[in-house]
Amino acid sequence: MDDEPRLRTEDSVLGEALRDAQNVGPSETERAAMVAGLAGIFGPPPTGGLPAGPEAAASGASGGTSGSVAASALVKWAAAACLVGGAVWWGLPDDATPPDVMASVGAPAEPAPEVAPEVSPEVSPELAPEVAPNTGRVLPVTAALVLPLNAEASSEPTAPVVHEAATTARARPASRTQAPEEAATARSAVQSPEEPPSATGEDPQSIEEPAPERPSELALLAEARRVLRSSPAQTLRLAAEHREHFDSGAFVEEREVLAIEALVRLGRRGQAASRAERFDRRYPRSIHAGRIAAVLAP
Amino acid sequence: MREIFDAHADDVWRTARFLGVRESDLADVSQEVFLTVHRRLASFEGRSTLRTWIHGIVVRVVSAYRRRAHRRHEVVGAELPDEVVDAEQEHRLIERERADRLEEAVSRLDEKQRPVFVLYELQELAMKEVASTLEIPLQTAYSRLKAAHRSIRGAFERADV
Repeated sequence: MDDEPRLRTEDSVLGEALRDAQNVGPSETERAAMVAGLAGIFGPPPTGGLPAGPEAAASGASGGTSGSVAASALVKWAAAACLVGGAVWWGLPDDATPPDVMASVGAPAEPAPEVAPEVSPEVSPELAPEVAPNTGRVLPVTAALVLPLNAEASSEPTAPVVHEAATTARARPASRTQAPEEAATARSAVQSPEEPPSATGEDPQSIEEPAPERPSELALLAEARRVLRSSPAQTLRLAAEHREHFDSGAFVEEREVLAIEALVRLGRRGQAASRAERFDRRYPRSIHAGRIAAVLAP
Repeated sequence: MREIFDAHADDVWRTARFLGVRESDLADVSQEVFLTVHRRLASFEGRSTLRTWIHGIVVRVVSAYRRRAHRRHEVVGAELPDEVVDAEQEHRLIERERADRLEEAVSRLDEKQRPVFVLYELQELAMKEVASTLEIPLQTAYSRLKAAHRSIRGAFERADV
């Protein structure tokens, strides 16, 4: 039911420009400003535990404490990151994912995810299985990420490497937090408890931003990954946040895969496809190519 | 409502931007859209998807904004780094240049063609949805789209020379 060939499908500079334009969106700072301005209409904070769960806070708190890791481990870490990305990061066995994807693809218009959220989706029981492993104990995000995944992925040889990688990855953000001051300011303005309520008089607590400190790169993506099924829009938002703060980070490829999958789940397959094309161009030998293909498969 | 915001903030922002809202006004205009969505959500009858419905609101809010402001769309050229350091940066420069060309071309579209083009090409609405969002006959939407295509192609071909 495609009416007229879209220019964005063309293999030309124009087509490419249009595909890129489909990824344009507000920066994290701009988004935070909007969120602050709209706090009054976002309703009371959910009681159950926000999508930005305890692991994000935990990682924020522990972000700078892993100083014992030798700097030289970074090299190993980078290599391990690939392993994380390839074998363990996703945690989902390849054969487990397609049905999910199919489920969301089957109904491109997806009225449910768009309208249903009105009924406080954050406390939806669907979240429970994903939240459960991380509540109750203060696991570092990486461990929280890796443990359940190892169990599922059953790729034991990678486990030790991943743990080390995770630890090192957590150590990085401290030296990487050179992101724009204004972004940090905007965020703290949104979250500061002393901040007077917005013009609309709503409790600022209703803004579901994560920890006071900016989460580490890995924490951000772990969170994006965690909410992928329950709230792909949130995944997309976190991917955008990652893009803003860690665009030269170690997990750019993983972020892109998450974003592509989130777009598919939101029924925005065209945008997912163009983002996948860009991904292929930029990372022609990525180990995630197979996953992207599976996610995009009709 | 927060979920709606999360799901559609990018779309709203993008549409507003390509419909000619100045960079500095995008946050305000987007907020206005969501306030309107919030106010009118009860009247959403589900005859279209929520996304299409929201786009209708964006088009109206932007149109009011433009009437109010009489501002010409400003193509905001981001500041480019002084020197190209590596392939990645070079790649980004090329992307940026391409994006600027597109924005420039879209900003020059006729006022009536622009929303058709933006909704169809950037937001991937079906033509039927575009027509109903803009409350114009389908045929009119098609002819505006064709004209917009010609114009955008022309701009890119000229730039290639």
